[in-house]
Amino acid sequence: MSVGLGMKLQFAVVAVLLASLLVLASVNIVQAQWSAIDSGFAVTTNWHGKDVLIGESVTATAGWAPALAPQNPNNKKSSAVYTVEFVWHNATGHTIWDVTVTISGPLTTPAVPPGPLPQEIIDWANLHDGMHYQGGNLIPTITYYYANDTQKPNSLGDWGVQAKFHDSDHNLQGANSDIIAVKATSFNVVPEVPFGTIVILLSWFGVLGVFALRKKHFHE
Amino acid sequence: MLCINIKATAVFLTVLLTTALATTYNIEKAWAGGTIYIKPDGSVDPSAAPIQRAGDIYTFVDNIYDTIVVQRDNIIIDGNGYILQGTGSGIGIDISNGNNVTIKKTHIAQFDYGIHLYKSNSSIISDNNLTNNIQQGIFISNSSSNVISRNNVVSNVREGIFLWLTNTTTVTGNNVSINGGDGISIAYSSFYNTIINNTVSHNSEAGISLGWEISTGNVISGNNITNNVWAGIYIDHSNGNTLYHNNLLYNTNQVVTVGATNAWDNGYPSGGNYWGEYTDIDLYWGPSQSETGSDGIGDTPRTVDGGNRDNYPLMSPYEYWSNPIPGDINKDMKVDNNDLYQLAIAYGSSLEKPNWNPNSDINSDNIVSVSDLFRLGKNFGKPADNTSPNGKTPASARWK
Repeated sequence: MSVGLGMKLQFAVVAVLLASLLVLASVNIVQAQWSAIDSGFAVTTNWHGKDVLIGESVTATAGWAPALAPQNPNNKKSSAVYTVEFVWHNATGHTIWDVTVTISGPLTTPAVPPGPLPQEIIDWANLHDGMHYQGGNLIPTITYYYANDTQKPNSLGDWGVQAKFHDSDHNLQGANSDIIAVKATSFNVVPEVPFGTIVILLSWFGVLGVFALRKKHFHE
Repeated sequence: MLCINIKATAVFLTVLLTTALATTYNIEKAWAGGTIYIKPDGSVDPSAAPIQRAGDIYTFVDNIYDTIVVQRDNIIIDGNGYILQGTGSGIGIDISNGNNVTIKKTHIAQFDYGIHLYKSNSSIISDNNLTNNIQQGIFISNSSSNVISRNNVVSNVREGIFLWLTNTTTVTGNNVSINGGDGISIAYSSFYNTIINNTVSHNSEAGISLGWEISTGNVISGNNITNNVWAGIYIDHSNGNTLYHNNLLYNTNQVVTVGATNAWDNGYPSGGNYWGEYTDIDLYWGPSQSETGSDGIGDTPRTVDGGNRDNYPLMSPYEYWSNPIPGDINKDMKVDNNDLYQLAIAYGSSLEKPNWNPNSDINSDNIVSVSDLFRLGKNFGKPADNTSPNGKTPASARWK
């Protein structure tokens, strides 16, 4: 009997740990707001609006939607974007990384596979283009291109990431920026979810403990 | 024959020796002996550096090929026209946590940053040449209340002048041209800076950029912003700034904004900006542009983008607009029949009269009379001889 209880207990512990890992993984999947309005040139980071633990990987994703760019009456140039230059400034404004990435695509919303772009970006794109029928339903669609760059900010303070969109002759076509806050302690990493996660984990372990004690007490 | 050979040899040797001595002398005089410190106690370290101290004034006495680190407040560094040159890295003049330091008359080239101020306040950077630096000509971060004036900031690989987290700084009278990034960049949370009367041209990105996120309360006025490759002015997520009396000509995009709402004029009658491509008419005056008579302000606002507009676009470059030829009532840079027509409409009027137009009152005596007609007639048929926004002398100064 005690062997069976022990196995059940082990199974429960493993299950709880797995569930915890899933919860923690889902924390990292939380994506950013898409920092762009109507210019057709947008950038976001996967830590937008949240504090980043120092040394954590930060991915900046830039998006270019050709159909939107001409909507800005001041954007007279309409050459195709060929590369995106990601300029990472630390809290003192110094340029720490300057990386140029060839743009990928095109992709069309909503027919986007799970993958390189966060849902918020797709939602943003959907907000800005026309509708078409698919399978009898009227759905939004837009063609867009994207590029991303990952770095590990290594000093504290507010970092700025600027995406510059260049054509094949390196002429600037548009730009956009995003700010992330790099913090030193894990308490600042993800301000809301950890508390919930901790409470959930404690609850689970608590319930498990009560269950185990009651079982033990019952069999005694 | 032998005598000639001996003479020739002697002359050759003399020239060679003189050249060698001169070269040696120069090598000894110009400094490339490591970083120079102006220390908190006022001393120059190393003392052999070619900087002469007289009280709080430090004057170059030769070219310097190394970095200067300033650790003392309340001093003047006078480059005296000499060169401060690097090898493509480091900082020309580096001031951290300093106050009231003046840097003037220095040609600073080929560093990462020509002049670098960090957490430094109330300093002046004036009359310098900053060229061919790899990052920025002038970089100011986390600082306030500095003045950058009359510098020539040209051909730096990134921005000419870059302000980051910097407040209440004045940038005025500079020539900021042919830089690889923006000419003047006011970046991330920089408040209440004043960018006035600069010439900003032929920069590869924006002439003047303003961002990111929450840079607010900045004033950009009286600048000639021309021929910039991407945009005259770029504003990124920054609101509450005021831009007026700027001349925007020949920029690929005059203005590009991303998520920004700002004031593009200074109210009436102060006016807005001069847009090179703006071709609207000017038949009315007044805050609502509803009173009959010209005032040199277009009758229709100029749309900047969806959420922004210049309510009072100027009909001529600000330099001329603010001081036109007497008699050029509509400020279109010539005195012609249109001005005569404007004066005729208002003729005989005084304040409070329905046909009153203050712009037709050329002599400002509160009545439109034969005296005003005479002044108009004196300049009738004359076009302004200076249509360039880069001109230094107001056209009216030559016509009065």
